[in-house]
Order: sequence, then C-alpha cells, then structure tokens
Amino acid sequence: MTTIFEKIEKDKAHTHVFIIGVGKYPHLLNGEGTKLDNPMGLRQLTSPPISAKAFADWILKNLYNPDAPLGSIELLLSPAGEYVQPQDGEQFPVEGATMENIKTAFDRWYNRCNFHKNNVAIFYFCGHGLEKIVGYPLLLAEDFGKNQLRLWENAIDFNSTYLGMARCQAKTQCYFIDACRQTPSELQEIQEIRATALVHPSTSQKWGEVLKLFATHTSQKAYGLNDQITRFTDALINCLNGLGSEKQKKQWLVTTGKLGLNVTKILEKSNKEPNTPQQKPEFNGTGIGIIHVCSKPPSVPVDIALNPIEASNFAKLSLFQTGTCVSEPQLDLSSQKWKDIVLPNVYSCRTYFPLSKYCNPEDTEMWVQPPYTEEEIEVIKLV
Amino acid sequence: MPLIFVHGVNVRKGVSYDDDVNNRNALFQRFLLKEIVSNPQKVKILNPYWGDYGVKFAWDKKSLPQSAIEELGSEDELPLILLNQIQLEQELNSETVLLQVAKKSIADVIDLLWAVSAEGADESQAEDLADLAVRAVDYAKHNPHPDWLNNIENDDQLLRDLQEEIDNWQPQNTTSNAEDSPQWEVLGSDGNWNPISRGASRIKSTVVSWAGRPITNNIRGVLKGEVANFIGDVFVYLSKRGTQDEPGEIVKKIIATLLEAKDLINTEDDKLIVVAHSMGGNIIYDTLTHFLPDIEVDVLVTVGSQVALFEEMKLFQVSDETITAQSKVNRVSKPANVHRWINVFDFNDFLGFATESVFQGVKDFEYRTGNLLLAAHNTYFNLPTFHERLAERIRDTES
Repeated sequence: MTTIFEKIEKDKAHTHVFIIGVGKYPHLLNGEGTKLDNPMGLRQLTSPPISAKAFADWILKNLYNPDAPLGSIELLLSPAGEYVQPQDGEQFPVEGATMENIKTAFDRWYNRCNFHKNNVAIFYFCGHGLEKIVGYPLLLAEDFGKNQLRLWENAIDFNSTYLGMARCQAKTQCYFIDACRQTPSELQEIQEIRATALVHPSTSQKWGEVLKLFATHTSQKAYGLNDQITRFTDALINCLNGLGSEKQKKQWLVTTGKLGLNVTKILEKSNKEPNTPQQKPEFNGTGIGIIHVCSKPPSVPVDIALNPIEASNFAKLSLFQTGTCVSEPQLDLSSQKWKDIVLPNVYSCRTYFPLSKYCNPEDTEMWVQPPYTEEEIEVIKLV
Repeated sequence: MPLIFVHGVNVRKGVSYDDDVNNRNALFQRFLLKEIVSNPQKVKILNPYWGDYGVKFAWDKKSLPQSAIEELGSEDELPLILLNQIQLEQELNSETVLLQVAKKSIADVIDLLWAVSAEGADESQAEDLADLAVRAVDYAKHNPHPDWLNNIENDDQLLRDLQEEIDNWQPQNTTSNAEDSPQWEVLGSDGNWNPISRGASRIKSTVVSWAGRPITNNIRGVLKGEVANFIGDVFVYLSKRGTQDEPGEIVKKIIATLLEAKDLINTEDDKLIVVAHSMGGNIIYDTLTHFLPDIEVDVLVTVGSQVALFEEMKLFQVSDETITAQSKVNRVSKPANVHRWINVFDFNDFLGFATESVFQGVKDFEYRTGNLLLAAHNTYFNLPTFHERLAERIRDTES
C-alpha cells in the first residue's frame, strides 16, 4: 500500500501529492543484491527516506489550501517500511520505490490530479540523480541496475515525464527534485540513454501555474547529512512553513512564483556556514499558483552586523515599532552578528554603546521580509 | 613550519609538472608531515624549480639511437613503464590488467592506479586522492591478498569492490573523528573515485593500443634518455654552481627558498624539513655545507640520491680529499646544521645510493619495491606506499 492519505470530495479541487524517497539501492555500491560491474560511484543513502517522510509529515500536518484541500498522498520509500501518521499515530505499510511501484502509484496520482482542472499536483523525489544531457535529469528507482542489459529502464526520465504532465488537467503543478545532477565519467561514454517516462508527452501543451524546483544546478551535487533530512528538503519545508511566502490580500501565501526563489536564498545563505558543501538550487516558477496558505505570518530570521565588527562587543541593539521597543537582538559570538526572529514588518534598529566607545547617531530602518533579512550598520568609533 | 622539496634531474615544467606538485604536496601532508607536526595542513610546502637552469641539448638528444627514444614523452609512457615494473607473467589483457596486478599485490595495484590517476588531477582532486590513499595504503598493508579477489572477473568489478573495501576501511592506527565532523552524503555520484576511474581507463586504453608489442623494448629508450638527462644536469650543476660570493642560478634558487623557509619559522613552528630527490640531494648537500652553512635543517630526507657517490668522487665544495676509507677518520661527518638525515634508496633504482659507509650520522633505509625504474620516471613521490613507508622510517628514527 502506498496511499497513506485519501479524502476526495466529488467535483471539488484538491491537492494530490506523490512522494518518493530512495536510500536503498541493492545494485549499487555496498548494495545487498547483484551489483552492477560499474556502479558509477553511487552508494547507499540514508537521508532520502528521512527527508521524504519529513515532507509527508509536513503535508499531512500543515498543508492548507482552501481552494484545493489535501486530497491524497502517495508515498514510496526505500527501504520499504512503515509510515506513522504524525497526527494520530496510525501506521501504514509503505512499499519500496521500485520502478514497478513508482509506475503504479504514479498512475493513481496522475488520474486523481487529472480529475479537476483546479487541482494542485505535487511531485517530490529524493534519491540518486544523474544528468547526461543538460536539462534532462535521470532519477534512479530502488531497482536501478537490476538488469545490466537494460540499465536505464529503472530510471525516471524526468524531462519527458514533466512534458507529459502537460496532458494533466491540474492547473497548478509543483516538482521538487532533491537529487544530484552530475555526469559521472562513465555516463559520458554512453551514446544514448532511454530512461522511463512515467507519462509520455503528447501534442497537448496546456500549462497553468508550474514550479520546477531542483535541489541543485545542472552538473552539480545535492547533499544531506547522514541519517538526517537533506539540505534542500529542510529549506523547502522551512519555506512552506512561511519563509517562502508573500503577503497577498492580507494572507501569507506560498505560491509557484515565490517558493523557488526563497528556497534558493535560504540554501545560499546556509552555504556560508562552516563545513557546509556548496549547493545552489535551480528553479523555474511561473504564476501565482497557490500551494499553501499560512495560518499566521512567518517568523523571519534577522542578522545584523556592525561595521566595524569590533564594535559588536560594546553594543546593545533594540528593534522599535512606532516608538515602542518590540525585540532585542542577541549577539552570536561565533559569527559576531546580532540575531533575532521577528514578524515581517518595518523596524527601527537602535544601537547603543553603554561604554561610549562607538556611537550611531541615527536609527536604522529595516524592512524585514521572508525568507530572511540581513543588515549592516555602520557605527562611528569615538576617540 | 615549512617543508622544502628539491626535485631531481629531468624535471621540466610541462603538462604534468603542476599535477605532480599537487599530488606530492597532498601526500606529504597525509603521511610524512603527520609524523612530524600536529597540524600538517598548516605546513607551507615550497617547491623550488631549477629545471630551467638544467641541461639543454643542442640537438635534442639526436646523439641517442632514435629507436631508443621515440617513445619518450608519449602519452602511454607512464602506464606502460609502471606495468613493466610490476613484471606480470601473463600477456596483458585490457579487461583484466588491473586484476592481474591486484592478484600479485593489492599494494601494487594501488600504486599503479594512484600514480596514473595523479596526472591530470587538479589541486582539490589531489587532496581527495591523498585522503583516499591513506585508507588505501592501510588497507593494502592489512590485506595484501584479500579473498574477495577470487570472485572478481574483470577490472570493472575489481574497481567496484576495491572502492567498497577502501571506503569501508577504517585505518587501524588512526582514531575516527566521524562523530566530530559532519558526514555529508551525496545524492548522486560523489566523484571521489572519478580520478581513479579515469586512471583505470587510461591504463586500459594503453594496453589496448599496445596490444602485441613487447613492453620491454620501451624501457631501454627511457633508460638511455634518463641517463643522458642525469649526466647533463650533473655537468651543468658542477660547472655552473658558482662560488659563495657568486653562486650559480640553481644554487641561487635553492638559497632563496631556504631563506624564504627560514622567514616562515616561528616559535610555534620551529622546524625546517627538506626532502630532496636524486640530483636534488647533491644540490641541497652542497648548499647546506658550503653556500649557506648557517641555516639549520631539522630533518633532511634524501631519496634515490647520489650524495655518497659524489663524496666518493670528492665533487662537493667542502669535500676533503684526505678523508677516505683508509684515513684515520674514515667517514665524513653529517653536516652540523642538519639535525637528522635520512637517506632512502632502492637496490633497483640505478641512480640511488646508500650513504652510511661514507657519512657518519646518516640513517639509510631501503625502499624495497622490486620496481625497476622508479627514479627514472620520478614516480617515487606519486606512489602512496612510498609515502607511507617514508613516514614509517621517520617514526622509526624518532622512537
């Protein structure tokens, strides 16, 4: 069973989600099955099933879209196992992400998505990815390499699948691909790769609001820490939680037009953290297709740096709104930045120096917007 | 703390010079320097290049029989020479050549793969290769003839299982810091073994292109070319080394590097290490004893060098004709400004000589590889097992 949630009201639009998380690859390095002679440096993974579960948890607990409430979730995990519903603890056996299971679950998901033109279709994949030709990612199912004679039959041809989805009625479509897009040297030597399109493209090309969001650029890597959620999925969930939202008609909305940009910004910011590999997402998002309506305004991280940086040790900072102090940022000793988490708004930042070694005669106006705000305040050293 | 590497004969800047430097530096940091300092990554490694002042052949070595040198410089040269060194008994098969080597010795296949893969590797890849080499060498040391080789049918399978074995191997004399540092996994090919895969492809192509031709014919040409370069560089150095007041270009280059290294020494890192290969050993000995005798060197390592032979011929500026095997003092003292001197030689290296019979206070170590032409191709410093054994020798002399 792969359908972990299904609640569809007749003639109404819904959000249908298909989630794949592959960490077990029996035919790749350290796999338990008959291994490929040349597994192209592809190993077993731990973070994709964890990330896929985290994404499913978020969808079940938080997704709110009055125009297209959650209708169904298809989940495939490798290794196969149990999924425990975060709300009521109900357990679901979840099938492995073999190509056969992917095709079967995809067909169910496609048909549901295709049922109403105002549906929202969400496709999420986390696992091994390769890319021989720019813009043509290959997503590897659990049983990739099962047959050395037909190596690519258990890899998803994402581009063809995406083009095929133009046949689907669902007006809003989102594709989240958390996988590498590298070309191992072995791939360069192969003349033609025929992977599996889950739906074949046709002449019909009717697109609505679409977001394609890749964890990384072409020829680059995507990362996750062992036994933890991947960098991309973590950023994606943070953005769905509100850091990827924008205010429209008094509501904070996560849309196809904004989500990709903010996920990219968050990952680029975390690239600066120590011992963190570089990863830059790529996205192609159009329109204002609503994915999620936030229940409250997002809490936005704020980083304030003083220039010169030495002044930080002598300062005290406060954020004001209409003359009232609403928050006091705290100094992070390792980065020497003042940090806070506040609601989106305009603030006046006041910098005091109790020992009068520096001064800042004027308050600094700060526009705090998701996904984060960084500000540098120049202060004057007093002789 | 600086380390100076003085290269030997026949080193000229070309396509592979930077690759060799990157690879050698990375291996020094992973092996030798780990035995001497607590933070090898902080050590500045200086590579004075004197090849431009070495011998130049007015007729481009036309005096050598042409058939003997026509293979020099060919792209296939390195894999062929290394394969020849391993002296396989069977005819080479492009699908199983690495397996043949591995069945003889896992250490040999690691040296072969790493030496070939080092060419074309940039600085970052050289670092990755050196990291892998630490585990690979330790694995080979503890598993010289692993059973899993019996189930392997071709080189692809060999590389696959070798990667698995080495990736999963925890070097036994190191403590794992896995808990301290984050372990990133890559959702695709992590690429760490890409240079090794490319090296393996290069070996395969070489074997395919060389099918049916005897490898050994090639070796004579390399030998002759090497001897010509060696003699040439020696003559150029001896005739142009200059005087203390007016040192020659090669000596000036080495002096400048020694002074640069001296400036880098501070109270926290107070050691200066010099590693010299082949003719580089003679040049550094001459420099430390005559041209710049005031500089203190903590560890001098001469590898495949001829310092003792030159002293036997009394070719150094400080050579004392009265000190011979028959004199009352029958050995030359180690230079006073060199605290520890280790000399590494290989019986099969026709340019490497022992020193203990001629010098007092030097420790000779034999690097027994069974390989024929290590010095000839300067591959000593591209071989992980050489660096591992050099580090062992340093450890032995300290204990």
